[in-house]
Amino acid sequence: MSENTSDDPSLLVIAVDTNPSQIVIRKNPDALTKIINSISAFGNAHLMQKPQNKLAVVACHHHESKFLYPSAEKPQEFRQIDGQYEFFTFVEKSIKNNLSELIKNAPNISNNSESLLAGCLAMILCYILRIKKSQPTGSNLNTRILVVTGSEDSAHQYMTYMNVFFTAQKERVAIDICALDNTLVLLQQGCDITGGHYLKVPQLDGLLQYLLWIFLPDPSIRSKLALPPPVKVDYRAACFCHRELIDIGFVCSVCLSIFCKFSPICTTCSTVFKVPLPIKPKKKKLKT
Amino acid sequence: MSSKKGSSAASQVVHLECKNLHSYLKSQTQIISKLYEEPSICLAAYRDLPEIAKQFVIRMLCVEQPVPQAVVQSWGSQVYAKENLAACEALTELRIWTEASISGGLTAWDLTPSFKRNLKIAWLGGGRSWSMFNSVEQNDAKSRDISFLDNYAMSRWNCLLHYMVDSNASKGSEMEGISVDAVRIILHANLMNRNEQDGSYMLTSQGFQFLLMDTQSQVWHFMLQYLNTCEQRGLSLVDCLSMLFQLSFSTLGRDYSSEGLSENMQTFLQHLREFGLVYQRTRKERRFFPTRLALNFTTKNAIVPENIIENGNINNNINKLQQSDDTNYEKGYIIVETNYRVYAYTDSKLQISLLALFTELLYRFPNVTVGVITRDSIRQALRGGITSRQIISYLEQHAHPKMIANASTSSFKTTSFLPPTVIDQIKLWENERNRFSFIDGVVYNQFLSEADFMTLRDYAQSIDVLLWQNERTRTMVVKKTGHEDVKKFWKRYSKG
Amino acid sequence: MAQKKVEDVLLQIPQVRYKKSDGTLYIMKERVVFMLENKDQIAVSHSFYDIKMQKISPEGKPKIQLQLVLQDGGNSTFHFVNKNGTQHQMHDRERVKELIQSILPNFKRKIDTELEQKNKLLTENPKLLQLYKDLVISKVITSEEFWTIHGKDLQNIQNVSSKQEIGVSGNFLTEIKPINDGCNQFKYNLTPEVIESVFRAYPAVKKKHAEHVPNKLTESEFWTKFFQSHYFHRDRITTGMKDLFAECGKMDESMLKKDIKKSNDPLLNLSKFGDNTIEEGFCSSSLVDNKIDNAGNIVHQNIIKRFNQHSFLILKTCKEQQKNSEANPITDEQQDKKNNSIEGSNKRQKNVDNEVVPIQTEEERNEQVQKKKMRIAEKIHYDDLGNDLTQQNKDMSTVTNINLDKLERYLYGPMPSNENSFVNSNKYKVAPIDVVDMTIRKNTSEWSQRVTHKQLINPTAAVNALGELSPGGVLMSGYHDHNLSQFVPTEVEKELNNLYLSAGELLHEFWLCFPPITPELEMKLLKMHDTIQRFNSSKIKPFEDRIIRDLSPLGSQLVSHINLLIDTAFRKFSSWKEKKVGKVK
Repeated sequence: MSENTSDDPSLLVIAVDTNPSQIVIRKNPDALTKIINSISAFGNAHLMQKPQNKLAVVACHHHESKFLYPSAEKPQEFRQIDGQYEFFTFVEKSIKNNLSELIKNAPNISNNSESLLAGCLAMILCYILRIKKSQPTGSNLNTRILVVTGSEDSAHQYMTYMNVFFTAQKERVAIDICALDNTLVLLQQGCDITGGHYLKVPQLDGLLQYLLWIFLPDPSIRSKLALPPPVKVDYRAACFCHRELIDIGFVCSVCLSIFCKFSPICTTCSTVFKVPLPIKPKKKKLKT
Repeated sequence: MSSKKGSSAASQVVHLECKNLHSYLKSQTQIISKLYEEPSICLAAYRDLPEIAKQFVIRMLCVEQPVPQAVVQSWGSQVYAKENLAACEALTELRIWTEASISGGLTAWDLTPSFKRNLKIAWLGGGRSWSMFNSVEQNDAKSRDISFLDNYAMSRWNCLLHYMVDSNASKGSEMEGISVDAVRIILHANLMNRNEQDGSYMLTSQGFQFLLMDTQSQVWHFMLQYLNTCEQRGLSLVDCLSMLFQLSFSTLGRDYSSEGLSENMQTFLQHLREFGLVYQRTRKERRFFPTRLALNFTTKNAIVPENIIENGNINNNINKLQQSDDTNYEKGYIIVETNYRVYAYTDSKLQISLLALFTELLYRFPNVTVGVITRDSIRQALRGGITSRQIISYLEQHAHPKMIANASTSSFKTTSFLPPTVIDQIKLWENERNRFSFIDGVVYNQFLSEADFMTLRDYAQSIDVLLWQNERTRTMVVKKTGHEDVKKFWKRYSKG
Repeated sequence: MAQKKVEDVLLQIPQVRYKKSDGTLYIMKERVVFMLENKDQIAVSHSFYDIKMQKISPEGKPKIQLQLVLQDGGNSTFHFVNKNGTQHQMHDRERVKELIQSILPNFKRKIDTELEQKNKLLTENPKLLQLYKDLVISKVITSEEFWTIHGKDLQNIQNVSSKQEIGVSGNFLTEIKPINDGCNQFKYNLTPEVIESVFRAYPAVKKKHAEHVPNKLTESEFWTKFFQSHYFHRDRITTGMKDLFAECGKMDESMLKKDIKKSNDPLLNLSKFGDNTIEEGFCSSSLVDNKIDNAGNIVHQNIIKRFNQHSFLILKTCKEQQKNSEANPITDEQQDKKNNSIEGSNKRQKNVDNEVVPIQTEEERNEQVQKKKMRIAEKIHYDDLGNDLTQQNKDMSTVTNINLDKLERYLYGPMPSNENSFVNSNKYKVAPIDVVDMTIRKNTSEWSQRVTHKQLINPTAAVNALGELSPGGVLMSGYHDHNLSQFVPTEVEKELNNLYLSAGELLHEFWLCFPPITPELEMKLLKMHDTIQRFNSSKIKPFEDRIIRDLSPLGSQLVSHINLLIDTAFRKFSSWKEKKVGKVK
């Protein structure tokens, strides 16, 4: 009963990075329009799959993150305008109106700033937990998060990201990543842990088709479809002294900081190490 | 939705055939292209597709050209080849895609243009607005909230069911009677039979099974029967269907205008009002509210979209989320114990008479009815044509919330919150009646020699029609279908 | 003589018949041998290892026989045919029986337990069994090597099955059923277990036994007196008999009284115990009724007292065992001192009616209060709800904090720095950030309009994406649909599994030998290398050939990994050998 089955409804939360500092947007400011159009179409496609499916969209702007759908404020009256299903119209309008409000009310941005995606993800996880709790007893809700971003990896948010990933893993929330521009090593690790999918979009024009192809099916159905093979994740750590990726290094036994070269004192916690005698290099043991 | 087919030859009982949306659409071959002109129908059909089929369709929606069949085949993993095949078949049967050939001699799949266009309209926008969804001029000062609508819907629907259970007493009872039209539909659907002697109406076995189904299936089945007769009334089937499906995509609690609907559609609307699918304050009113019965038309538990309810504030929405969608208007009231006792916390005659179908009622109190499930009571129900599955699903649907809560907190998770002993026993009692399987056959005996017998028997075995044989008495039984072949073989053999 | 009997003959019985032929039965140090008369051959020889047990024919049967039951289920029956008559036959048999009885246990225990444990281990652990089958039965390694590797597991089992003390049964006295011989005589059957129980339950009797036997009385006399004594039949009031055991009774009573006082449970008030069989409120029950002593009640009270004493003594035997294993620092003397102090304080006040109501001194009261607190705390404290009460204070002191000089290192984690990020932005022709912002704000006003389908997604782009994402496309490189496991039949899979298990074991031992610092390790290394070679040729190669024939082209894929493992081992070995040879040179 606790297994994810394809009959259960799904909750999809989309986290959109709308920070103007992203290279994608700086190259072409119209790209944001395209992105948001694709996202709302994609969200509606998710709602189209099953009547009980749920959706939430969160925008991560340079000064704050905000829920675009469902709106935090009271929703306005809406009616069907053309042949689109009434509800889909409502969703689309909510997303676009709320985002334009967010952008208009944002303070003027003067410098490049990082997208605070990790905090946004944490907020989303809280929302997911709340929705899960309000489900009637005995019903099962599959949950996943889709992150659409053009930013790069941010070392400053490492701790928060790790907390988010492990919480998501525990709560069985899959995190999918759609990278618009750069290869995101840290987020790839998150995908790997939570069982989500990672895709780097080759070109922005076909964004909607890419999203529909890979991220629309529920994780339980993905095994039945032919999807791109999982990305090989680079789990190498970076040494604390030069911030360069290393394969083999030294670890302080007190504070667990990583160094590429041996030094008699750990620079992070000031522990003094015993200088080792020259030993034969350890033979690596190959095991199955 | 379940589709129960078939009847056993031995009994006179016919099982209720209940088509789901796809079977229904498949049967409407003539009008299906017209049906796909309606975005709402396309959307409903899409939602009912198998999961993999949905993915295929949506991948092809944005592409203008046909896609080679081999490519589509490769989209599914080979491990699940069977499911892929089933998905492709479903799409073909529903005329959602057709074969086309492209340059290079390859066969390809091409989405039916009308379906593609209209599904995209429903999804992304464009096109005309749906006929039913005309905007209302002013806001209704006396608009109704959801609980009122639910009560109204259930009372109307229960009228119908009450009539079926107790046709004679409905006049003058607290329930209003139902219209002649409704009675005609019931008779047409073979849910009730007219008793020749005294002219009263009797429930058939199918009627019993109908009563035990859940509300959404009942509404669907009933409306299908209605639609079968609607041409006779002069209503266009396509129009009716499109209206029904549009209703199923409406928003609960919101009013819609009936202006702009043709005469026929207004009549149809009145019928829907009688069955409880819409609410209108008066006949002449141009405003109507869809009820939950209409919303759940194609699928169970259609979610009420959260933020759309305007009358309450956001807090109410959150509270509503905490209840299941059904408990608002169909609260469970049955408790089944492991000692086969059934306690029904209800005083509705309908529900009690439904229980009486398969339990032995022991006591009736003002708010509780106590019954016990016995072998005899179940057998009586089985004789009437009800299956054990129907009984079990009925008990599950109307299970008291406490039973559901107990089951979810118990340490071992079972698939159902009814006691497994009871479920198994009901199934066993049903199986008791299926101890024989009948196959038509032909007996061959009185063979003159052993060799003859052996030859014929081996031949029959080789063409797989041998049912039974006994060497000692030189008798064998062959399937009726294989009798001809065996006879021919025997003639050839005995000659040569 | 064909065979010189070098072994010691412990017993020799002539006139024994085995399988209808007469001969002599010899019992040696390590085996039982039967030699036919007039022939010098040994007809039957059973080593004591093989003998499971012996049986004798019951009393009253005409034939006097002894049967030896062997481990493998067979048996040999010897018929004693001493010409001098039944008595002598029986006597012969008795001698044989007792001798075998004394020797057999020595041989039994050593073998059985070890084999038994090994068998148990193998049956409980199917993987181990499979390994055993593959490695030992196919003679890749010997049985001893196998068990040295898995010796640890064996030891674990041995430690687990530590002996449990057998307690004293509460009703052991009833087992000594007297056999009425008819003429006023009772016969008691005493087995050593009963005697031991008596000694453990009644230490007084043990003392007496030590004193009197074997100096003054023989065993049987001692026990006869015991059973006759007033002590044993205390419920029958036979006075006047002066016997050894009169003191025992008094000793027992005083010990009992001491013990009762010892269990100075502050929460238990023994004197207030009453035997109220009627619930409160049903009739006015007065506790004073206890004091009424009818003459008849004394007998009842005595019986009850005897029962209680008996149970008390039995329970004490359990406690003693516990004490012995726990090495309780408090010796009995110290306990006595404590008790004496309490007794002393008791004497301070008047004994009104033999019921001792001690008046306590200040310190004793404090002590009692402490005890009470401890007892109550014990009851309300649950270990699994939180830290142990006593441990809490200790833990706090052992926690030390890490002092970090550079905290930001932790916060950034082992992430490479991205110097590219904002530097790269200058590479592209990007507008300054405020211009971008402005453009975006302007764009938002257009969002309320409906976007056409083609604008949303360009069909060409869609087709391109379709091409990229269908199998064979750019993004799908590395996608393998066929799952290897589908095409491999289950028996092959199982066999491969077992091969991996065995290979894993051998390779594990092999790699453990590195670096071979000691000569033993070198020896082991060489041996393991040979073993792996043998394994390779006897198991892996045939398997490989078979599946390459049957399951090609998958076959090579299946074995490539295990071949890789073994090749790595061989390579390592040869490189080590070269180095060694190099060093020697």
